[in-house]
Amino acid sequence: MIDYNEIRDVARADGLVAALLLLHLRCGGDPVYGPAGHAVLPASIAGDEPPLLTLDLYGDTLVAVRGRGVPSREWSLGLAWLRLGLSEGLLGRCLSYLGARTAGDSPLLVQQLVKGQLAEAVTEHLLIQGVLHEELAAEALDDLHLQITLADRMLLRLLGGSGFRADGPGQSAHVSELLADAYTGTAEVRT
Amino acid sequence: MIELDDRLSALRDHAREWAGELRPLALELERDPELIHKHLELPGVSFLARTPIPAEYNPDPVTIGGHRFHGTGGLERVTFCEEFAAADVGMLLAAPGPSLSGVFVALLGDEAQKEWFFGRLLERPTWTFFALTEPDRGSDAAALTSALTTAPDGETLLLSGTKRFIGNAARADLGVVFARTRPGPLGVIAVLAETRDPGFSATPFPTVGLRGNQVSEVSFDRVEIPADRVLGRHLSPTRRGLAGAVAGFNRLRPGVAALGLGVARGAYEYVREHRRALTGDERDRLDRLGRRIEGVRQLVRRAALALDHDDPSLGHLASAAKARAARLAEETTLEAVGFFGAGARLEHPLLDKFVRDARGTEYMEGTRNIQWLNVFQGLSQGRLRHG
Repeated sequence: MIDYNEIRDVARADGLVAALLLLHLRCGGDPVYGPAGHAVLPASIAGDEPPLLTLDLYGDTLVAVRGRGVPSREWSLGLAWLRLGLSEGLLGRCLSYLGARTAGDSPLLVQQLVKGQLAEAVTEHLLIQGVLHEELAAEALDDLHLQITLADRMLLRLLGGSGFRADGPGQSAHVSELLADAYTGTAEVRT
Repeated sequence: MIELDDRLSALRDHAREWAGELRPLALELERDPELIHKHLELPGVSFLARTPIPAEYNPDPVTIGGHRFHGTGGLERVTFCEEFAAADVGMLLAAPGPSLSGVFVALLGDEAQKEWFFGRLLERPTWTFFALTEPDRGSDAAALTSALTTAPDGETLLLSGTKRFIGNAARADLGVVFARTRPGPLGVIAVLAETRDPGFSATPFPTVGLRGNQVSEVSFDRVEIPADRVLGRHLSPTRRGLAGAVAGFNRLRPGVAALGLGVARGAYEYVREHRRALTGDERDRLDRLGRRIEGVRQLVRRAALALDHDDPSLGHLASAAKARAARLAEETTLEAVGFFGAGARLEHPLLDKFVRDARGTEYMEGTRNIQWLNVFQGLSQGRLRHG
């Protein structure tokens, strides 16, 4: 039985790579592939197959690779908690950034527009947390992943251009979106 | 409905053709933005390199079907911006040309400055940069601290400071820089700077999208600015500084809005091209996206016409269009991904690029909060006419 709160806490405090390594460890240690056979994982635990994509994140390297296997229920739930923890970590970064930055003579954090948007993001977190439980249907879990992405997008906007740098929190949010992409959705679509 | 006339329809058709040639190069350019140097002869890049330049300074403009195009009109600009962005906004932002600086030079420059600036651009493909944003103050022009001090000769100015999020700075020859000569709102002025001068350095940093633009941090360390390179030296101090910045941004924003619109359309067309066997529900969803894109296109064109007609509501309309188009880009690209199964962004790199580039359109020339504050100002001043 996975301690989902542990995954979430590590994601919030230590970031994506640490949490993803932990989730792999708790799920048996082997690479896990999504419904259409994609994995996004730290290069250190990937096999030798040529990656579809290589991503840098705070000095670590992640890769996207193809493979076979069906993600377990624990993995799918754990990934949602992981992404929620990352989004909560992003909220923390926004609070520090907006508290330190001023417009006119006051911190951006006290601007009414900004307060409202932070409140909206944390409300999304509360909502997601409230429905993220063991019995959740797969489609509902996919919806929650999209909600996490949208909460991240709300928060990234508050970071201005710095949220678009690939050497900052905007890149972590990007990799988080790619995790949702690899591990949610249907195996096939008609073309 | 605001429709294009024959002249602009001809431009749209050509721009679509040119942009179509750029799209297959998009992913390669992302991996290596320097490849833009290989594509300077392509008609699309060549057009961007020569627009916008006011008619008086370009005796040999791009001509299509007997119509002359300088790239200076609002509706003209949003038309080609949408077409290029629907193919690859990265290539548009990587291209040489007057770009943002050209708008400010046209607005604030005197005759000699315009002749010098636009003349340089017509000699050969030349990149320019526009530097206002600073590390701790973002785009808050009133708070900027980059300083212009007088050199010992009593005339030359020395520019010192740091700017951030400056596109193309590392490959540019010249550009426009906002800095201050003294405290207070009237102390802010714009100058023309050359990157070959000692004390200038630009360091690109990685971004999630729009990589062709090579966004950089720029540092000025006592860069010499001759007295005749102060933009708007013939204008009163109230018109050339912060007011000039506001007026310039108002003129730029319809074009930036068109970039968001184009990114959204690019993702929408990608779905139409790659998902032909749609379910009934999917067809409805795709139709809805198409209608939203057309709605925002009308808003963008309305802002563009406000520019063409010197409408006092330009700033408010342009901000409304910019905020709404960036939101459209974000929503449409995320929805487009939903038309493909798991791993869509890994299997469809161009679609993934649209998703990442859409995030970039949000930050260009101010995030939506800044735009909304402008729109509210228009509302409270009664400048947003209905109809």
